[in-house]
Amino acid sequence: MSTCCDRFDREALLALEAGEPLDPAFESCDACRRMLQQYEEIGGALATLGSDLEPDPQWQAKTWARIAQRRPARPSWWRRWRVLPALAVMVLAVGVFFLARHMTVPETLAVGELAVVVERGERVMRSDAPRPGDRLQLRGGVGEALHADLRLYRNDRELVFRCDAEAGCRRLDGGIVAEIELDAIGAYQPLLLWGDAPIPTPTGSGLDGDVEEALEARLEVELGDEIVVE
Amino acid sequence: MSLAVETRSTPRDIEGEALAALDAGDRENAVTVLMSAYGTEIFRFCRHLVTDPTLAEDAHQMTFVQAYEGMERFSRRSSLRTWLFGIARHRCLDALKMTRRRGARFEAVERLPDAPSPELNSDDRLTARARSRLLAECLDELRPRIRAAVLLRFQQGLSYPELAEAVGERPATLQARVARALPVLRHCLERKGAV
Repeated sequence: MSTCCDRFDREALLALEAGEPLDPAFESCDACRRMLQQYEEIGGALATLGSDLEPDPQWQAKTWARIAQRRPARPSWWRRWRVLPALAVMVLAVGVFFLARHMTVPETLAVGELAVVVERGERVMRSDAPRPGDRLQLRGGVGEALHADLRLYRNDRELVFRCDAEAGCRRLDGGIVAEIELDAIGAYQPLLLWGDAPIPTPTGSGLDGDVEEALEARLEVELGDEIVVE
Repeated sequence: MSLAVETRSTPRDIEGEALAALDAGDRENAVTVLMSAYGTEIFRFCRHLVTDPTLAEDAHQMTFVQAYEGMERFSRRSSLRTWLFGIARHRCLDALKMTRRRGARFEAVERLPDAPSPELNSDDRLTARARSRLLAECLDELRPRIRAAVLLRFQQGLSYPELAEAVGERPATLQARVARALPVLRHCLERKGAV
């Protein structure tokens, strides 16, 4: 049998968080009023939680240093380009050829940058949230790493895509690009692995296990933003 | 009616200043404005979501690195503050995953036993600092995504529509999540003798 306190926890809190008035039945109950007061105290304590904490005084400088570090470095041929215009023309020609073949040219990615773009599918009902049928374009910056892989996990457990094994994935200068159709609801998270050591085979234990393996293998690891498909 | 939450209004001049810099193509200035205005509160959020100080610091810095890199794609559907908290939540949740994976490489956060501490018997007045510490421990009992929602709601004062923008879920889902988390916190604080 549920007590008024159980009911308060189950019903009144949800109503209060939804911005609704408190049921008069609860207001006439002493235990409920005490509980409400306790919750208000907890809310108040949460509001001031950490108010004595301050970040490292140098954090802004450190952040700018990291931003500078992640900017793509100009490749060595850049200096030559300045004195050898012919080389520039050649590079431009290669770029045009590349554009013609692939339709889109990925922008230069910093090493470790993992860009995620959801492209709307044509057959699905539209809303702001990604839906099954939408396509996902992942682009990861891996520099000149000897080995790289781009993977996509659903709900942390299921490996739904990996570049090593699937079509729809290509390695470009300094980057790796994959295009995947999101075919089911769930929380998807991309994972970029790169380094000079070989990429370990997926463990089958999901995102946690695979990242652990990659770190053990001394690979670099970057997790992308989660994409919730509804 | 709702539980007492200090919903902070977004300072318009800060948002306007950052957006003006962005419109002028000056990402550096835009991010500098955001760092000055929101850096400390995002640090506090990360520190209580991640708990490991080193990882929290890393997630805090990475929030602004990612903001800098992604600022030109900011859709303006929410305030910059809400957008930043959305980034911070992602980075902190990722940091937590890394904590679990790296395990022994980082020192475990010191935890108090569940039994009430001797200094917290009924005759003692609970200091604000001790209460905060116990509350932080109780927060740690919540799953990370739930902890993030509770912190964004109460510590940072985000409204449910803002929270929904920041985390990409429906307001009703988040209301239910927060409402279910509060009794967990209350029971935990009771066990520790703090309420």
